[in-house]
Amino acid sequence: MLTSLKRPAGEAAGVDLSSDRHRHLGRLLRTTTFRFALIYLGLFIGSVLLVLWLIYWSTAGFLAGQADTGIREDMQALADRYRTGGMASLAEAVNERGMGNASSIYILSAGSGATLAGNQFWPKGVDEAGWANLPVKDPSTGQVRPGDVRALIAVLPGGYRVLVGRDLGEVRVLRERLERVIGWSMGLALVLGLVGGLAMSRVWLRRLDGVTRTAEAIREGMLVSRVPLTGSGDEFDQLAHTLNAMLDRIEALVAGIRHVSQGIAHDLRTPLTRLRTRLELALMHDTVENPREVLEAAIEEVDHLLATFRALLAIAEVESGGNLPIAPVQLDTLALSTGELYDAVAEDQGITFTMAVEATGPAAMVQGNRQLLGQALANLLDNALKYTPEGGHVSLTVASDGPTRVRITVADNGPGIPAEDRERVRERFFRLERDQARPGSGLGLSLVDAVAQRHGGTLVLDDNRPGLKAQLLLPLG
Amino acid sequence: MKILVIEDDAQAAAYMLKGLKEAGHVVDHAPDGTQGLYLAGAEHYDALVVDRMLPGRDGLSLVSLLRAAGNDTPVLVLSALGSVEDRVTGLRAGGDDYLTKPYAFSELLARLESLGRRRAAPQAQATKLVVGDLEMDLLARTVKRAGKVIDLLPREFQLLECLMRNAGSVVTRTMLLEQVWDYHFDPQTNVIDVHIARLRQKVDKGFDQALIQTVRGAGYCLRP
Repeated sequence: MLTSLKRPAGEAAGVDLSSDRHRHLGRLLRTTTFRFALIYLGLFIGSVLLVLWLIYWSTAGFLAGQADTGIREDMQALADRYRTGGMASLAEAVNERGMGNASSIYILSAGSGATLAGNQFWPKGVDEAGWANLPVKDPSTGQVRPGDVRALIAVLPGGYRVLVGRDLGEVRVLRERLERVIGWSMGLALVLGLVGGLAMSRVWLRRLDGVTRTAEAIREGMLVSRVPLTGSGDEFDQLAHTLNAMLDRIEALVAGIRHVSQGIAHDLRTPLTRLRTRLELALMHDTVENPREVLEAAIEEVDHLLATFRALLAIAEVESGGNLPIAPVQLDTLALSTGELYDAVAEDQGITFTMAVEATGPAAMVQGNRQLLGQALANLLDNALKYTPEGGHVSLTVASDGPTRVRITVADNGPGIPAEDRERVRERFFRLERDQARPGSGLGLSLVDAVAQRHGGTLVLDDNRPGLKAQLLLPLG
Repeated sequence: MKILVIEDDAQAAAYMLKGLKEAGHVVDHAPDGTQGLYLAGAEHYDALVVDRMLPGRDGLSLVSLLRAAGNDTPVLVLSALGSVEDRVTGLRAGGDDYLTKPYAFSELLARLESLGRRRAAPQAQATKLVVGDLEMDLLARTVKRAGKVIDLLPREFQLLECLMRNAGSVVTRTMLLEQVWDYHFDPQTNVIDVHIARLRQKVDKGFDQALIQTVRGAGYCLRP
C-alpha cells in the first residue's frame, strides 16, 4: 500500500524535474546574455567566413596565375627555338622539356593530328590556338579528372601545332582541402559559440539570481536581507555593493520614519491633551472666570504644536532630497545678519555676544539654500542663547577650514551637552533629561544636522570647556 | 477693501469670509478656479486670496493667466504645501505673497491689508514718510520725531520704515522678519519683540504718545 502510494509521487517528482529543466533552458535561451552571444556568434562567423574566403581566393588564384605564367614562358622559349633552329630544333626542345617532367605536358603535332614529339599524345578535339582546359588521365589510378590540365596551344605555318600544359591536380586538391577546413571550422565555431553562449548566460543568471532573491525578500518585508557578494570585485560585486548601500539607506530611512512616528505620537499627544482639556474648561462657563484667557492659551498651545509640525516638515523636506532652490550663498553676510538678529536677544538676556568673520568673499561662499542655512544658523544661536545663563558668553565665528571648507562656529559657556548624548541630540524629539522642563521641541539640532548633510557638510558638536561648541562645516562652492 | 477669495474648502472659506467682513472688507467668494478666473476678470478687486489646490483650475495657473491678461491685482497665495521650493514657485507664478496653511487669521488679514495698501498708494517713489509727528527721509536716511533727530542703526531704520509704510495696519512678526531680514522661517525665540523693544526705546521714549503699539496675538502697528 505504501509502495504503491509512493511510486506515483516519485514519478510526479520526476516529471516536475524535467519540466523544471525545460523551464530552466527556456529561461537561459531568453536571457539577454544568450541573445548577445548569438549576435556575437553571427558576427564572428560572418567575419571568419570573409577572411577564409579571401585566403582561399587569393591562394587558389595565385597558383592558377603562376601556372599560366609558366606556360606562357615555356611557349615563348619554344617559339624562340623554332625561330632559330626551325622545326627540327623545336621537336628536339619539346622532347627535352617533356622528359622527366610529369606535371607538365609538351606536344608537337603535324596538321594531320599525328604526334611528332612530346611526352603525351595529342588530345582529340583540340585544334584551335589559345587557352584550353583539358581532362587528364591519372597515370597511377587511371581516373580521368576533367579540366585539370591547363594548356596553351599555338598553331605554326604548315598546320603544325604546339601544346604546352600543366597538370593542376595539386592546386585542385589544395583548393578542396581549404574548402573542407573552412566548412569544419564554421561548424565548430557554431557549436562552441552556442555552448559558450549558454554557459555565459547561466553564469550571469546565477549572479543576477542573488539580486532577484534579495529584492523578493525585501518585498516580503525582510528589510535586513542583502545581495550576497562574491568578493571578486567585478561589476556584479560593484552592483551588489551599490544596491546594498541603497538598501542600508532605505532601512535607515524607514527606521527614521518609525522613530519619528513614535516621536510624533509621544510629543504631540501631550500638548493635544492639554489643549483639549483647556477647551473643555472654556465651555464650562460656570467654573471659568475668563474663557477668553483660556482661548488665548489654547491658541498659544496650537501655535506651539504648529511650530513643531513645521519643524518636522522642514526636516522631512531637507532629508527627502527634493529639488530645493540652490544658489551661491555668502555665509559671511548671512552670519552677520543672523548674528545681528540675535545680538539684541543676547543683550536682552544679559549675555555677551561676540561675532568674528574671518573668512569672506569666495572663502565663505557655498552652493546652497539661503533660507535653510539661515535657519540652521538661527537654530544654533537660539540654542546657545536659550541654555546660556545670564552673564554668560556666546560667540559666532566664520572661518576657513582648510582650502575647501568653511566653518561656522557657535560656542557658548552654558551647561553644554554630555559626551554620551552628543550623537543622540541630532535625533528628532531627543531632549536632555535636565531640559525637559524648558520649552522646546527637540527638533532644532535635527534640522541643523539635516541641513548640514544636505549641503554636503557636517555638524560637529564639541565640548567648549565649559559649554557647547557647535561647528557647521560646509564645502565651498 | 474689496477682496475675492478663491478657496474650495467651504468651511475654511466661510470662516475667512466672516473674519474679513468683520474687519470691514467687502468679500466675494469663488469655490473653484474657473469661477474665480471669471470673477477676477469681471470685477475690480483690491486683492485676491487664491488657494493653490483648486478644482477646475489650479491656483498657480489662474494667477499666471491673470498676469498674462495684464491684470495686476495683488494676489495672496494660500497653500498647504509649505516648503521652500513651493514658496518660490508660488511667487514666480505671479503671486505677491505666500502664506502656508495653517495660518493665523490675523496673519492673513495683515498681509492682505498690506498688499491692498501697497497698491492703493504706491509709495515706492516717495522720498518721505510721515506718521503723526514722526518723519522719515528715505533719501537722507534720517528720522525725526517732533523735529528731534533720532539716531537709528540701519536695521532699525528698515524696521521702522516697514512699520511706517503700513501705518495704521497690523504688521506681523513674520512679515517683519521677511521684509527686514528676508528670512522665511520662524525662529524659536521672540527675536522680533526684542528688536521692536529697542526701536521703542528710541522712537517712543520720552514722548507722551506711544506710536508703536503691540496688537495682541497678531503683531505690531504704528498709529499716530
